[in-house]
Amino acid sequence: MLENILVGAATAFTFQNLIYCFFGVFVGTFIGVLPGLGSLAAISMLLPISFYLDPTTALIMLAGIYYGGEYGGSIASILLNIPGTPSAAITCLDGSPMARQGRAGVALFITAIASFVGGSVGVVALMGFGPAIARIGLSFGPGDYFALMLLGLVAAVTVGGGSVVKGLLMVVLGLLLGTVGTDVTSGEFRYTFGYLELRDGVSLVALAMGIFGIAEVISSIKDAGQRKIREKVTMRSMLPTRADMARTVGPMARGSSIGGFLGALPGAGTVIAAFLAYATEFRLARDKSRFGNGAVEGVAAPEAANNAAAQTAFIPTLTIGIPGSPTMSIMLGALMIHGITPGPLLVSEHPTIFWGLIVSFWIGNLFLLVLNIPLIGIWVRVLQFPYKYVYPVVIALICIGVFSMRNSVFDVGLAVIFGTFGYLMQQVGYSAAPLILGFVLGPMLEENLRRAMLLARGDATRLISDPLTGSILAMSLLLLVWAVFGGLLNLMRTRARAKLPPGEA
Amino acid sequence: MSNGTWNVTRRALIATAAGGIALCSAGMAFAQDYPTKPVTLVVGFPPGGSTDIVGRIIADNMSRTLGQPVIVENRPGASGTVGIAHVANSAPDGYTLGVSGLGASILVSAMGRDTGYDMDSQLDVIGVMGTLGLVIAARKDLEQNTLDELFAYAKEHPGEVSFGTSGVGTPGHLGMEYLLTLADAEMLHIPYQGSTPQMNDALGGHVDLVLLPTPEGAEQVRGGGLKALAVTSPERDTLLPDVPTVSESGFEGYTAVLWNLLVTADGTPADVQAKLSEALNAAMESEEVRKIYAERGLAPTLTTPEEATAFLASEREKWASVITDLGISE
Repeated sequence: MLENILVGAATAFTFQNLIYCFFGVFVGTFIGVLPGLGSLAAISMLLPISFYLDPTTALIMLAGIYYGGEYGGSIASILLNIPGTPSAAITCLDGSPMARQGRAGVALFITAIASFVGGSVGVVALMGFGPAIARIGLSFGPGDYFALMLLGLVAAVTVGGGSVVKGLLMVVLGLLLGTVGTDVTSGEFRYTFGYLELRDGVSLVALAMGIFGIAEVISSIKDAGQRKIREKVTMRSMLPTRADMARTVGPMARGSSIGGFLGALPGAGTVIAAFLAYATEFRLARDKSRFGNGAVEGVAAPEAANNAAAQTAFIPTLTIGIPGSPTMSIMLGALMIHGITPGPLLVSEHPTIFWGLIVSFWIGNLFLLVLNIPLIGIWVRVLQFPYKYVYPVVIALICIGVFSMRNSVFDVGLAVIFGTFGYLMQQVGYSAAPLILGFVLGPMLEENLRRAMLLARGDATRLISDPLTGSILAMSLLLLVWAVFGGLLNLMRTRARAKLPPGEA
Repeated sequence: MSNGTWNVTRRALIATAAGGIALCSAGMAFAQDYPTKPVTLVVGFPPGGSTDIVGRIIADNMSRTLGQPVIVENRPGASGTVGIAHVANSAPDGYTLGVSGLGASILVSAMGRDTGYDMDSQLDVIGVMGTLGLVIAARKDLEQNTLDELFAYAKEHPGEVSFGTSGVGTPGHLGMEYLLTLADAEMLHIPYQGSTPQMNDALGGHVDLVLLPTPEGAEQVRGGGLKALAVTSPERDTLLPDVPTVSESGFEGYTAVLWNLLVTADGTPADVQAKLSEALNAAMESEEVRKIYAERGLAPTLTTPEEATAFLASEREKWASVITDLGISE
């Protein structure tokens, strides 16, 4: 192990690689901050450069953009209530209320720390147990994926603090939107209305940026004049209190584990990791009313999770050659351009690439921490800009970002439609977060269930009798029972309290 | 503005005339000067995929031959047809080229689906950008080690062996179904989205067989996670020299290869097409492209536009009959 780290350090600490690492995380953070523009777009644009670079250097730079983007994604969520990247959507729920309470600096500080912790846990997992985790990932069959996605949905339905019925409705709407496109099992087109552009489904970026970003801009037009501008940002107002820090330790640890695990499963990704980490904290919290109103746990857990997932996503990609996401495919593309076909022998045959990259992750995460803490002061000042200047820029960025995903004007139109829809939903008190989760989980849930049923020749009992699938399904059931009973108990308590004369509650 | 109408008409006339002259001179300039600005190469798949890599390698080389940058533009969607539809509807001036694979060129329309363009009347073929074989690989603990054994087993146990492919109507799916009709055997098709998720399930032992592009498959075979039963290319693959072809394994003449065509909108001037064909063939013959192609399991091809068009026609005939025989067109 030590030998490997030394090989990696020798590669990562060359002047050229340090420079490219810094460039990568720097670009990643900024791209992440800008709503709509994600790391995928930046990496696609920079892929041609990797032609002229050593493959290790190219990977160090592209990977830096990727995990740097996860750091930056939450900044816009907190400051503008518009997620910079889809995986930071959930951070809006508590990050934005914190900013409204004048605690934007605290939220950003916690985000930076949580991201660093999550990233570090991810790198340790990748370094110490990469191949072992990869083997566990392989043992997950279609049935297990289905069970896991179901667990995610069950965990998420009750999240948001608001009405459960409204949450459920939005999840179902998300599931329905997820059915648009080519049905994997039969190859039939569903709800494509003759548009070629819809055959691969609705673009996640168009949906997330429309329903969060454009909707937020529309709703702010109305009250732009009344927005309060804070005069001063002091250093003290940026630092979390001791109580804040104590509250975030558990969420960071749990978020990192959830993210680290899900990131390593091909296909699961950072969005699901962030949502589930948030859902877990919500379930565990005694006082659920704090969530959605600026709970620090609601910022720390998803941020730790998406950064951990961003690191462990490299496990299946590099140790077995299976990229779990479009971004990971581009990373492998950077190797393939140089004639290196990724596979299970990459680690042993190209140790400098693998270990050099891992050591660069350490360096990159440190760079990000050092870069992000001083930037908090600058970011907070964004809140002092009048909205009339900020929002046109945001709209332009969203359009560019959505367009750049597939060079498609159609998707920009979709984002505008979803924006209008999102605004209407917001006005009548429906939260967009469950919709996004339903949209992300739905297609995976369906595809894996149907594949599992094909492999089981239609015998549904095989799902329950399989030890792994069965136990995950049992967990979903327990969670559901817990949620229902917990809810009833709460209801009874509130009713009992309401009967007491005022002053004695 | 009492004489506004007249003014507009005169302006329009002048503009038309000027435009006409500009067009003519641009037309005449083509022969010697093309290209005078960057050329766009549309790839119908996302960056980093195997089609994208082929596009980028060739674009990089053609940039140097043509003396203008050839820029890859990804317009992914609907098996590559979104990108080719864009090329089909662009100006036929040779500045918008496309990489058209088996799906966008043949399979989607042969399955009775709208592509948004007509391959023959709206696009011109410049040349073939190389071919790539598939490997039929099995999970490592499958009892059968050869195609013979496998089909013998599958005949006795219809529908018991499962095979994964990158989706319904993809070359892997059609190629395997065709092979099954030849062998008179029955297996269970498990479609995936793209080639990587099926690799995961084959390595984990959840599905018995998979059809993978040779380079990715060969790496897994070398790593010991999968075993190769046969390759679908006409000759043995340099990446898997010990693995027999399907044709050798008792199905003489059977081939199923992936390929890409360099295409441009119909009506592109002949001299521009000739220049592009020359540049493409120069790329195919260059040391550097040959080296990466060999590492990526791609077979380089040298074709004139006529030969490439004939190749497209023969491939179409073959796949169309496979689709009709299997009865899967809509």
